[in-house]
Amino acid sequence: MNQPRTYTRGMQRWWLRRPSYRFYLLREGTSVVIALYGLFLLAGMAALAVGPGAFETWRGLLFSPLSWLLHLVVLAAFTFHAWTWFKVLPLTVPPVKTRRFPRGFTDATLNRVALWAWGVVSLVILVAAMRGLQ
Amino acid sequence: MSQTRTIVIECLRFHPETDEAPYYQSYEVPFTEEMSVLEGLQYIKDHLDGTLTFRWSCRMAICGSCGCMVNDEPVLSCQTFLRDYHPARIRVEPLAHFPILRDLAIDQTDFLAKLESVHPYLIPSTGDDPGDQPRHQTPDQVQDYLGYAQCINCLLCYAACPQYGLNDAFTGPAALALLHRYNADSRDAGKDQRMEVINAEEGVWGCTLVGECSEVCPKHVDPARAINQNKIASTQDYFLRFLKPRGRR
Amino acid sequence: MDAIESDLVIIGGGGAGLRAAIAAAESDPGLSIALVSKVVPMRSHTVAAEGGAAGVIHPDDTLDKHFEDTVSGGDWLCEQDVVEYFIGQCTRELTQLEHWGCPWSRQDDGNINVRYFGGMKSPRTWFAADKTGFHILHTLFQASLKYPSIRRFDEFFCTDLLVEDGRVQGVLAFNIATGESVLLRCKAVILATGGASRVFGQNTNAGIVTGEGMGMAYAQGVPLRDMEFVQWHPTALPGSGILITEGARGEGGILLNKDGYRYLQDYGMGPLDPWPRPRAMELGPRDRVSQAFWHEDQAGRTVNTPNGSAVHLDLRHLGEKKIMERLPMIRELALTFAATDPVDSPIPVRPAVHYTMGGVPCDANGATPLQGLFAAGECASVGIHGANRLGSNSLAELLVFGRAAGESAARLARESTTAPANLEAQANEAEARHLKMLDTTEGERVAAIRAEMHDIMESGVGIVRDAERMGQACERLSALRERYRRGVKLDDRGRCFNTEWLTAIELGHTLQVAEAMAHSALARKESRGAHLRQDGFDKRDDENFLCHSMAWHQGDGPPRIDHAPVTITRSSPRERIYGRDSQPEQPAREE
Ligand SMILES: Cc1cc2nc3c(=O)[nH]c(=O)nc-3n(C[C@H](O)[C@H](O)[C@H](O)COP(=O)(O)OP(=O)(O)OC[C@H]3O[C@@H](n4cnc5c(N)ncnc54)[C@H](O)[C@@H]3O)c2cc1C
Ligand code: SF4
Ligand code: FES
Repeated sequence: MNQPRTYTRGMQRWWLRRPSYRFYLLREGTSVVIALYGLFLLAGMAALAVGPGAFETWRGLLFSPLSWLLHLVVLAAFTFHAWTWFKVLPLTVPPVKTRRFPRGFTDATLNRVALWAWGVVSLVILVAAMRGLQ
Repeated sequence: MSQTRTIVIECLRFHPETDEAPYYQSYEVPFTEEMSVLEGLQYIKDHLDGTLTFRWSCRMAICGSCGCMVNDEPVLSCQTFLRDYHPARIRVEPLAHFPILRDLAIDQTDFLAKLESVHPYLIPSTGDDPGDQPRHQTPDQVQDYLGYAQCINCLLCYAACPQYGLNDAFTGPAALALLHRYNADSRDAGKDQRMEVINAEEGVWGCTLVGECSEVCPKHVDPARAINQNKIASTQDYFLRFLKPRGRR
Repeated sequence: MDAIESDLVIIGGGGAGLRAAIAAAESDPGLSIALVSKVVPMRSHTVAAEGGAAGVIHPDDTLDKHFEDTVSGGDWLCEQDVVEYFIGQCTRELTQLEHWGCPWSRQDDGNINVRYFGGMKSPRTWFAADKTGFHILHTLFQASLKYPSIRRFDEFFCTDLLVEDGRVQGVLAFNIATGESVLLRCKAVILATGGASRVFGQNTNAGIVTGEGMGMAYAQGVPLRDMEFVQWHPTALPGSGILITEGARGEGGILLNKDGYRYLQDYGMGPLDPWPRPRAMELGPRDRVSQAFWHEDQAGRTVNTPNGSAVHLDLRHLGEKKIMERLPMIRELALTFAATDPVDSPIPVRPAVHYTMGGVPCDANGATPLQGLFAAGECASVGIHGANRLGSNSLAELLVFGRAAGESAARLARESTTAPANLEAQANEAEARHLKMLDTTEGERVAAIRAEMHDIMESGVGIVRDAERMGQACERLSALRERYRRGVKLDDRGRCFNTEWLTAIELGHTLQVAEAMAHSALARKESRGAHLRQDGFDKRDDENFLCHSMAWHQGDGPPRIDHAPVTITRSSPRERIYGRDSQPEQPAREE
């Protein structure tokens, strides 16, 4: 039997087709920012290993105005990414677990609880880090 | 009778015998308040142009035949209403990411093969012989999988998934949700057999959590959830295999 | 023309076809089985069944009650020996589905939950929320994937049975995507093509339920049995015909006329209390409930909707929680298709054609009078529905007789030794006939002929009938068939995925089925079950009409009608009593 001829439309500029696709790309984009920042921190570690001079140079970079700006951007990216991450977190909890949750405990509740927990933990780390710096 | 208005329906046309590539054709369709997009298409077929081709059957959102893109949204045309678009025109196209057979009818063979690949049937444990009695299953245990058993195979989720569009080797949302439906069934013991499908690159790891499948699903199957639970299962399986290697089945 | 050899061809991938395929594959793994369907199996109409399937499992229920309910429900036109076999197999089959994974609704302790349906003495209906047909069909389809000997021909449209030496030996089909024909040779054929409700305009059925299976057998000289018995479902949405399951009444929903009055109490189904109780009021049988609507409508006590008159199905007293739990799909359907939320307003409903009780006659093994041809499911008339089908007997029928037909056809195919006949000439001739339609430049549109058929059937062979209107219907159908023969004008002349052309072929069969219905109805000069006359034949007449109607194909002319005996074993005809006097053994539980 012959196969029918078909026509397949391509995926050209697929991200334009739905706003949610752009949101998705933005989300994935922020993970690149996070990865780059990870590399930057790694560079700091490497500098420490090379010697105090190199580390001081690296540390010096941190205090330039440009660095402040970039850090703000990175912070924004981090926050956004974390927010999206917590948004999808409930998807990974199997119903066998969720059905033991109290009534009315929905994905949104779980998401909110997780966000709060994350906020509190971040705050604790921040405070601890500030203390450590002093 | 309810008041009749007119709406322009623009359809993507493609005829494999005569057309090199698809094109658009517009029709003016009178419609009433309760007319669905499907009924609009039927009106065209019956009265304006018998060549317009599309699938439908139940016209009550349960057979999964009538999926198409309406203004770039994957929808069931039988439960999408013309009134919600009027006075703007609407554009109706075949489901995205699938090869077009003709006009609005897509080729669903790839999906059917994927559906078969996930062992979509109960695989009871050896020794589990209920005889001529029904097995027991509590309402809670039914709830664990019932949501994933609601899939009508309408393929809207595939049309919403850019990963499937970019690489059609991806097993995809509905098939993976069905896989999970059986894994989550207390009567089933076939997880190991299905693990291979899950672990494969085209399995759950083909998903990057765009999440649109769950958004467009008319039956609230939530395939994204099914897939992501299995990412955890797959990771566990990966490490467990290091700890206690076992033969592949 | 391509030819494909298999032992067994099954036409239809609905509940009956799939069950038959699995049974055949299990009974002999060596057989090659072709499962041919004009839609991918899970799109078949079985998917739309909502309420449930009957099988005795409740402690208060007995096989005898199932027998009685079925036979009295069918107004004694049932083949009682077949009913006997049927009731004995239902529970086994529903259990088998459980073993295959069907998500039956459960009681808290994990046992199967059952509910009441119209005309039942005890709760007997197994259900999977209100999507029973959907879950049955998907479970069967998915289970069928385990059997390598089942080869599917999805979206292949069958047009003709090929008979040689008095035996069915093949089927002509068209691959819808390419329009190419294929000759499917085989030793046995199982028809599982579903009903023919699309003969009528207002109906609850999917668009594919057009009766070609019956038409194909009919054209080969197999009579169609009891075709006048067409079931109107009392509660469908006006206009679209979308069904609101009887389960809604089983859960306690009530029917009100425009004055908010539960009118069924005036039609021999009262008194009101206690409610709910089996076989009374809203749980009366479908024929009676639909007929009561007709009378209310005549008396002007129905409400007007943009799509015709209706009555109200009120579920409000059940409360949101119960509605969401037991009838979620009904709520969704009402919201989407009637813009009504049953939680806070009643749903407008009216009767619509729902089920074809008649069909291709066959025995409990599915064997039809034509050698090698078996039938199962709604296209068959195996004899369990009589003059009125009991809700939820049909899904059970698909399983019980799907399996029976699968096993007996497999046996026949295995034992058959005759050399394959030369079918090419016949197939080519049939193919040419269909292809010729693509060249017709003169004639009427498919839609015009179809609309006329709907009009004829609705006005002439409706819920309540009389000789004059039935006679007119017969004449008009005859003329309409003539117009069809003169030519159907197609816009679409291509071969690939030409649904206009296939619909035209379909319509040819549907018209003949319509004619069989109209003539069988005219010839039955009594009222029984779903066949209600108003012209002096408004009583049942067991003297003259306790018999099946048989419609015989007569080429281009109208059918010849004669009658055949009914098998009665242990229940002789009595008056069918519902409501006050049906004396339930115990009141229905609020479940
Ligand atoms: C809305 C609704 C609700 C219902 N609810 C209930 C209920 O609660 N309980 C109950 O017991 N019954 C119910 N019924 C009745 C029951 O669903 C049907 O009788 C039953 O599903 C018919 O099944 P089937 O397998 O015979 O045919 P179908 O499921 O109709 O399948 C027919 C098959 O034949 C194929 N076919 C037909 N013609 C051709 C052709 N020419 N070529 C190739 N293939 C062809 C089709 O593709 C399809 O696969 C309901 C019916 C409706 C309409
Ligand atoms: S998961 Fe939802 S969208 Fe995807 S095929 Fe199933 S019902 Fe359709
Ligand atoms: S026609 Fe069946 S889902 Fe729309």
